[in-house]
Amino acid sequence: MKSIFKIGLMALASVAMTETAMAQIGAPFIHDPATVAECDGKYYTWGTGGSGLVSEDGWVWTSGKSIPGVGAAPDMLKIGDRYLLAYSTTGGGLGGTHKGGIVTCWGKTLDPNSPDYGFPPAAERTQVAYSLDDEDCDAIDAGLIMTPEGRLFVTFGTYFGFIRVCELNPETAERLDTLAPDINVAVDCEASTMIYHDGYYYLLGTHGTCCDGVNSTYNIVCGRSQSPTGPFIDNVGRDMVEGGGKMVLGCRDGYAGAGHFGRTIIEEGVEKMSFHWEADYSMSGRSTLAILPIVWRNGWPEAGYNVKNGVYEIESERRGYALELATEYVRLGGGMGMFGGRGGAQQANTQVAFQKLEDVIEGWPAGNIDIRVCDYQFRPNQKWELVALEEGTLGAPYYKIVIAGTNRALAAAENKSLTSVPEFTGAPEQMWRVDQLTDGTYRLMPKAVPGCSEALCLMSAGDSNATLGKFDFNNVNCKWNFRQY
Amino acid sequence: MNRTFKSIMAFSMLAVVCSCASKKAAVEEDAAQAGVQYDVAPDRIANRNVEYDQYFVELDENAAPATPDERGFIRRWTLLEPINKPNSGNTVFTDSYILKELTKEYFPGQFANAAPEIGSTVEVESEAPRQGGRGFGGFGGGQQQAQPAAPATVKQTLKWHAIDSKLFNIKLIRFAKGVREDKNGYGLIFNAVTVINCEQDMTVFLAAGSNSASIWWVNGEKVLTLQADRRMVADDGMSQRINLKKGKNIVRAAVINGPGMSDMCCRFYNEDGSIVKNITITNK
Repeated sequence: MKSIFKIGLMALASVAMTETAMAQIGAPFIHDPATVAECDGKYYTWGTGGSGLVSEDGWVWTSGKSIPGVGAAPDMLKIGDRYLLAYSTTGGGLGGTHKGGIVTCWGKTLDPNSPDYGFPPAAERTQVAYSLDDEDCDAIDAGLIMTPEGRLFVTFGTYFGFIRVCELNPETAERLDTLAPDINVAVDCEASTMIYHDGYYYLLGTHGTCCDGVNSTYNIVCGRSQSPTGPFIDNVGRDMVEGGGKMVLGCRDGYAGAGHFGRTIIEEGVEKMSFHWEADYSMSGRSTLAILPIVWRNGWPEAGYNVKNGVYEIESERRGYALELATEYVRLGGGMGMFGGRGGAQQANTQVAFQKLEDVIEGWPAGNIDIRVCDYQFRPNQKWELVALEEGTLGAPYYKIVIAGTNRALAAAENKSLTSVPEFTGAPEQMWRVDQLTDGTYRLMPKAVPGCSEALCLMSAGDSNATLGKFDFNNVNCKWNFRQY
Repeated sequence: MNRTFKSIMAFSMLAVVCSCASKKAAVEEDAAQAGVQYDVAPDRIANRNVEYDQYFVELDENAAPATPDERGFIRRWTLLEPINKPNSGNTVFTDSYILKELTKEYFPGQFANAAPEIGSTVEVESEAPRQGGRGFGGFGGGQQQAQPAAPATVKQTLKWHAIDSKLFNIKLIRFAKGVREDKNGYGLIFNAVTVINCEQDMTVFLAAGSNSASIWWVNGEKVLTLQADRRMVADDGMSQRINLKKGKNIVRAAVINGPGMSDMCCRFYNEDGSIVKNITITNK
């Protein structure tokens, strides 16, 4: 959180839409984004200077209303039916000072069109933590957490010394005990926040260099503790006060410098991390909002992956079989190839031809074709092409899923069943939400199910069939993997 | 002292309204009076006091040998008052820049394989600190920032200080602010030397972290370089296997930083991954 002004101006600038399939589209320009917050079906975030972004669906982002008076690097947390805003009144080292303050205030809604919209004027906001001009802390980059026990904490600090934590009153967001000292929990990092997972508090911080475009080395790291006051230890036993931290995300896929982590839990097993890229190579090296799935591996959070456009086997987590069109099985030539058959060990090897789409498509029915699950054998009826669409959900686009080489699309059907339609038309039952889950598998959900108002997902039915059903993270039938060969 | 109050703020990034807490605010007293108690180690309690003696104990030539702390960190060093090397940012710390600037000889005997005499001084010619002393006009411009005219040079008389750090790491910025008349902690090169005394020959790894870039030598051989703009992380870099000989071994470090925090830490590991503790540390 350093080079603030010009990036804030960039975020406010009107820009032409540029689409990339694997990142938020629209005009997602921001630096130091607050944790994405949802209000009345829309998504919001704010960056340094209060610059806002808004999204109808969580995938396409445009410039939104700023919050007056917000200084640097805000965070937002919904508590009950109110929204708690925290931010800092100075920048880390901006103008040569490390004198900072963490300020909180409440709002009733995030919708600027609501009559209830508004945050109190600056004079009525509460400073809950501060740093002197010269001490081993710089009170900036607030990060909020409500613990499972209902305790509210804020972390703050930057590369100039310690990251600190103090406890707030969850009713007022004022300091819980004005005499209680701040506690050092990490050192020389930025953009801290804390999350809770499976008995541990995880302190997220950002190491590396920010604000240097594609040369930025910003990277998100974490340590964990069983107490919100630490000590936070990384995966090799290093205390974050000693600089420790396990990497969550650094640089990836043409994006440089991940920083300012925030977590959104959609439901059990579906978590997203919002952050900014210091530089998006495809967007002139600008700083952009990003949202990716969170995967928990061996007790540590990692940035997951949205599915890239491409051709995949869709493999059931249940059995390992593959989703396929229920078409006539067409055998390849040959017989037993073992025990030295086909000429024995002395014969030179030759390439066996893979079955091609043109080898079999003439035999497929012209109308809808059923879906089933079967052994994967590289067959054309098992090769699914995913193509991201220009609308989506929080952090992921909708996809059309077609048999590679055709426009035959996977679709939800009446009676909570599955089918494939000969042509993708863009109908909502043909649009698939694909979320990577916290265990690394994926769930697939049609945007709509004909004759049904429920949100359903693709499920294994036995080992060899598929249906639609209610998502349950603890049900292996709801989980799928994407394989490329 | 009530640190929570309603602040009056205008929308200005630079307009900071905060408590007028004195630097001498006794954090421990606050902690004692606080109604909410946290089970944390005393060194985790925020301390706003940044006076020199919060970080260092100055030693004389009669100081008894030290040992590594319980986590193996080397806290005893002889530090040279920092050499001016103003930079408006840390993005210039490329490999070649670090090699050039941290191996530049500023004074005779700088790279001698010997411990400096405590309290002795050296004369160096260095770049004059930039106007404003610290901050250098902000961050983030990197190499795109306008470069100043050719720097003026100044002569510095710099003293070697023997210290024990009260922390596991050496807060170089606090050393600089404590020993420099201008209290400037930015845009500096730090030189540090310590003597590792071994009872027998040892094969070890030197593990170090620094904010920002640094080079480390053992017995005159460069064993580790930490290039680029980086934060101090314990065990960030580790040397190849090195031999500490029976008797005295000279460890030397040079650390450079632009604006921002600067510190360093160092310890040794045995080949089996255990931390080296069976050594003593002296200044001579």
